[in-house]
Amino acid sequence: MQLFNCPWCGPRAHIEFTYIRDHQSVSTRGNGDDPDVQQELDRIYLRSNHLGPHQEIWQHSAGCRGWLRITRNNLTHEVEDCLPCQHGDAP
Amino acid sequence: MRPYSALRLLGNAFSGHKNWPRAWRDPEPAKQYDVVIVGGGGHGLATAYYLAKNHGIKNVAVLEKGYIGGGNTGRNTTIIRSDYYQEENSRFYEFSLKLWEGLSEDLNFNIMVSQRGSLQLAHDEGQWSSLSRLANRMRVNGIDAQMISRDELSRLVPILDCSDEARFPVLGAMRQGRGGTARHDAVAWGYARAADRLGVDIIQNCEVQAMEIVNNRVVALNTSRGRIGAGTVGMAVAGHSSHVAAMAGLTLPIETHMLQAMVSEPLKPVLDTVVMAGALHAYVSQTDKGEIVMGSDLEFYPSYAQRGNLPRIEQIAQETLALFPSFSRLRLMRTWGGVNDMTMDGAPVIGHTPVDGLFINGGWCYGGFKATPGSGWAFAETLANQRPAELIAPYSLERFFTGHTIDESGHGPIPQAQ
Ligand SMILES: Cc1cc2nc3c(=O)[nH]c(=O)nc-3n(C[C@H](O)[C@H](O)[C@H](O)COP(=O)(O)OP(=O)(O)OC[C@H]3O[C@@H](n4cnc5c(N)ncnc54)[C@H](O)[C@@H]3O)c2cc1C
Ligand SMILES: [Zn+2]
Repeated sequence: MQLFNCPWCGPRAHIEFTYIRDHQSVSTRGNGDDPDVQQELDRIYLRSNHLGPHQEIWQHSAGCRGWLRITRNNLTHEVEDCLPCQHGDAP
Repeated sequence: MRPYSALRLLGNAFSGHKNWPRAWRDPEPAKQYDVVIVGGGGHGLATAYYLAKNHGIKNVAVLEKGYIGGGNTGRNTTIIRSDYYQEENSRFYEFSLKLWEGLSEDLNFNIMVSQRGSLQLAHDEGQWSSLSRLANRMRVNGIDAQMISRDELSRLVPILDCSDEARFPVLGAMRQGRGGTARHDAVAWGYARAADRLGVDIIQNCEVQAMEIVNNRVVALNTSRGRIGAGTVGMAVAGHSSHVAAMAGLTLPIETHMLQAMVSEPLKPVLDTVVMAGALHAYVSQTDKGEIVMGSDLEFYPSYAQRGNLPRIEQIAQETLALFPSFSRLRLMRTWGGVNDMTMDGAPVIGHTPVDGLFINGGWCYGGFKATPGSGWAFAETLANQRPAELIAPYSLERFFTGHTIDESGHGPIPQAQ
């Protein structure tokens, strides 16, 4: 079991949370009015999927329902950071 | 090496089965091969076999970082079927199922294909309609499918709770009579032995760590057993596709997710078909040894850990018990996990890459065991001709950028939802 320290609710088991998507696929979002099509396709479909720490968007779906930016190692399941989403982060 | 036969079995019985020769050689890697396959799972080994058998390309090596079949090939719940809706998938998986039907004879290795039928349960009207639609589509494509009522179902699977009081009431099911199971380890061993007999080098404990690329062409692989030159390279590394492809500077439409499965202690035969409940994502069958095999849903977060967490095991046990209350006294014997290469549309990625001489076979999600023979067949054809075989041409990497995704479940680019 992974333990996520929700900034609003405190430490909770990961089954209370829902993984939404890789942070990179949100943070690289282009300009809404004049998007670069190739860049947007890359953002939507490609993932670095490297071994090690990733920034991910999760939702505390069975808790406060807040959006979170979690830095988590996908090999060891260690959680480095659990922060509220900032403006522009939200999925 | 001599073929296996009943006579040889009898002969070896007299010496207590102590004198069987090894099934495939254990060669030192050569300096250079025409084709190098990365990954000794079912897909890599099948590719090597069909390269040698169908195309006469025998200067081939399969490099496996651990032992062959130690990845998802030896970790899956062994279900084979061809009940797909999308035309590209239907055609491909039916081709693969037809190969399964003759595979033991072809490989001279008993891979224990058992066409015991596979059932997809419907728990409500919506599921019944969508399974009927699937069955109709399959029959239009010439594939066997049948909708069966609750009464028929309870006769077919007496231990399934089809009562009104069931936790998840069952309306009926879609049955593919030619679906079933195959012995997963034997698939790896059978292909390995057959490929080895045709001259393929199977090299275990050989991890590919880097790729040498000159003028956008792959020329060699740097491995834990030294540098190995290659005319053509085929990657078939399942959940490890992204970081192996990254050695060539590629980024893939793949996210690696964990899937768990488990088996109970063995018991007398009680379940002679495969039962899948799509709504619960529980799928259950009984092995020839008597164990009940239970497969679960993804962990729903990216992971390379190759081991899952207890909540999913608890969930799958609960769901299985809801379907089969008589299993309540069974003890669990083993649980394990595998790393799945989940794509953005749920369909695999096979074909060429932007790097010359480098080809990919991956993105099988959690359903690629049944694909093993078809994938090996078509990937071998692709490597031999240096262009995508017709059967797998729709599974190109480019499809994501040209609007030609093949989205069986209709979820869009959410890998964990496929
Ligand atoms: C729990 C579970 C249940 C499943 N149930 C089913 C099912 O019922 N039916 C079905 O059709 N499918 C099922 N699947 C999916 C199926 O197992 C896979 O899609 C299929 O086996 C993939 O085969 P493969 O040969 O591509 O991969 P693998 O068998 O994983 O082979 C890839 C190999 O590559 C090796 N490798 C990785 N990196 C390197 C490197 N750098 N150098 C050298 N070698 C490397 C690995 O060690 C591994 O042996 C299930 C999967 C899991 C995990
Ligand atoms: Zn919270």
